[in-house]
Amino acid sequence: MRPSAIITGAGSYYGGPAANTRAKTMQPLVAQKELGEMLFYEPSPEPDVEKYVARPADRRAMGLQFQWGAAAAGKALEQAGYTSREERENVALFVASRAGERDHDVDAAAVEELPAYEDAGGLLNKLLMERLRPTLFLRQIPNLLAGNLAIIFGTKGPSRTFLGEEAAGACAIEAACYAVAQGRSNQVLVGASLNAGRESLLRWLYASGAGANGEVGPIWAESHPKIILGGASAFLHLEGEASAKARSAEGVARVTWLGAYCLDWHDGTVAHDTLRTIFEEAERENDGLAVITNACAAPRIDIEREFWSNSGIPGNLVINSASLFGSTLEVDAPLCVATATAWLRGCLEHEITRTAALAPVEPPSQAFPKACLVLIGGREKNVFACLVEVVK
Amino acid sequence: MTDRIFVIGSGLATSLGKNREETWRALVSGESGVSQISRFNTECCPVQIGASINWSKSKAAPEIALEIGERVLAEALADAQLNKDDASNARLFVAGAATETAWAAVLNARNSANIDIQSTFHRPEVVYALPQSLADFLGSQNPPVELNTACASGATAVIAAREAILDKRCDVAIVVAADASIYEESIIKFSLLSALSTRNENPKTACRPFSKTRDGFVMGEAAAAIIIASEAWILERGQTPTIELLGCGEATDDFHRTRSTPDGHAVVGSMRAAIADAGLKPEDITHINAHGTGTPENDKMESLAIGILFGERASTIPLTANKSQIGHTLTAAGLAESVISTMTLLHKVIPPTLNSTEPDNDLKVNLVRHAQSFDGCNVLCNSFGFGGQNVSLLFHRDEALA
Repeated sequence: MRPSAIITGAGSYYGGPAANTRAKTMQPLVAQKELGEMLFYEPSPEPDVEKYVARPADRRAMGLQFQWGAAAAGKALEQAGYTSREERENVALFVASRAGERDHDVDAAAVEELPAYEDAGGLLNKLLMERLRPTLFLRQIPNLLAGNLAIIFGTKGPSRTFLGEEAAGACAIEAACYAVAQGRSNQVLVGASLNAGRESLLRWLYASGAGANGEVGPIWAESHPKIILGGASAFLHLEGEASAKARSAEGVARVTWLGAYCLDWHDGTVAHDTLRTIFEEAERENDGLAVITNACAAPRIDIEREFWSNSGIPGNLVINSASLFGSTLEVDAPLCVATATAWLRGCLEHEITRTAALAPVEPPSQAFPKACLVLIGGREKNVFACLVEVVK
Repeated sequence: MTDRIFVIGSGLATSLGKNREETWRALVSGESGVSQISRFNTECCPVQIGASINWSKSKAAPEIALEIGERVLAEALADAQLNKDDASNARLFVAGAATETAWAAVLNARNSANIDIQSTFHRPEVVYALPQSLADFLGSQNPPVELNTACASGATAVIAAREAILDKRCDVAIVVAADASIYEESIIKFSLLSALSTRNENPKTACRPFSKTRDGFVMGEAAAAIIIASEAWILERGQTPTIELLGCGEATDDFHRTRSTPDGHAVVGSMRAAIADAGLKPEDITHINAHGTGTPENDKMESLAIGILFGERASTIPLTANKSQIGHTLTAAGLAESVISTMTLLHKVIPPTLNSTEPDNDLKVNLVRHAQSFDGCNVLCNSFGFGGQNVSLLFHRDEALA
């Protein structure tokens, strides 16, 4: 029996084509011609941080990444129907995160004022001691997103933070599905947040040659697509059927964990066989499927394009999340599950999905499928799969 | 068949030794791994001491973590008599740290024609390289899972690994933690939180857990690995391990980002949950491997919670704090101290807590000041972290199997 849970709340914020936003630009601190201007998306509309994080002290304790996460988490909890802090006591937190934002001004000062490292003596230490704020560290520790959520919303169930970019979000959903299915936690808040407008992150992407130098077209159209990182946050409230019934919470969809698969995307045969295994598993109990994938790098994009083109699934039902939101790394998995939920419920506009579809044809005349396969992979390795279904 | 889970292998590398046996001998001998930091210029730095890994081939922090992580994984595999084929189906759980700016690379990048562009600022490909590198080393058929719950990360990873076995996701789970965080910015950030001891003049006596004169923790570096497996799988292989992972507990504190609720209920909660999960009662606990950082706040709260849970017995249960010897190894601490807890059960010796010549009489704990023999069979190992993370693991020596 595959582990599954009912989605009774979802909250998300994102930018990019799905939100009709243009990319912002950032100049690297240490200018290098290979980098040029670096692009990223910010969520639009801006996350409702003040609504969901009422105390100014709590807002001050967080950088943008954690604030956006808190807003999405608050939205998911609100949809899940909680009305008091006490009701949320048993909620578990499974969060995908990374270190929070750095202090750009301190980094800039160090770059501008200090000599070469070997000549700096104690000057680097002196500058960091004098200019770093003690509170900055608490905005940076990865599990402090979960720590802040516990403080803001009063959750006291198990708190786990997962690292590892796209895989982190997927592993958090895997853990949440098992926790609910095995009865370890009746309610789990699972999600992630990313502020893409960070020098450290953008520099790494552009240094690898994958960063886009201008707005990008549909990801499916390229063999070596360029990426724009997308700032986003997404949280899901998962629970068992009995819990949802006891709380009179409406289930908006069901998520079932299919598996974590080890592969190297450069090995096309293994990748193809793995996709076949996942597809057959997802198809087993569903007459028709829609697919959301976060594929956005070579050679995975070619492998998936070929596979889904030959799968029998209409091309307009296979959409690419990077074409909608940019690449949102840790947020890919929870955001794709939230998007699948909205799609199955008819809440995604055709014009939005059209921009991200494998074959952007008109919507099919037949009924929309009742299940959506969500595929989350790393750029080089591994793939994770879950199935989102209409609650029967 | 019950769902019993046993420790079948472990590895440990610290400032005291390159492997588990070296570290264990030094621990029992009462040695300290704390010394002056020589890795970088500490001028203008309020803290100039640490329990650094000084014996590695690598000299920069992220690369040290990779090196010692692979080392302890190999040691644990050998200890468990597992070859890589045997281990390829295991799920791998890694307690990971987020690394930060490599200032040497950044400052030198400005005037260099040949920039190591990947080395400037934060390096995600190094951060996340540890789990994938370990998975590749194993030839793993499953993607690794990386967890971070600050200073409780190693212990949290053990809980996640145990759950994977109980859920029948795997028969064998491998947990690895590796933390090499002694570099400028990390030391300074902890200094700014007033968390570190500033006794630079005498490093070996700086960390004083549960002592009246404690003034903070000493940062340390370590890697640890534990391999756990289901009883059914172990019996099939004809192995007879004796150390059981009998119980796990965790509790989230929603009070503050760095401090515990004043009534200590979350710390009590994690210990109580581990004991209940093991099917035991508080009176069955015969030794506590404390989180024991040597900060005024941690030791006060841990002592308070132990007093609440164990009542009058609190002042009689032998308690030790390994951080007095190997420093606070941050994300690796929970796993390193778990390995030490299993060694305590195997060797029937409790390593000492150093530098406790001036006891804090307000803390009602029975601190082990010199290595002492141990005839109990249940060790409770505590790990706490910023963000309200409280985790307790209960290791048991099965005398019937010994």
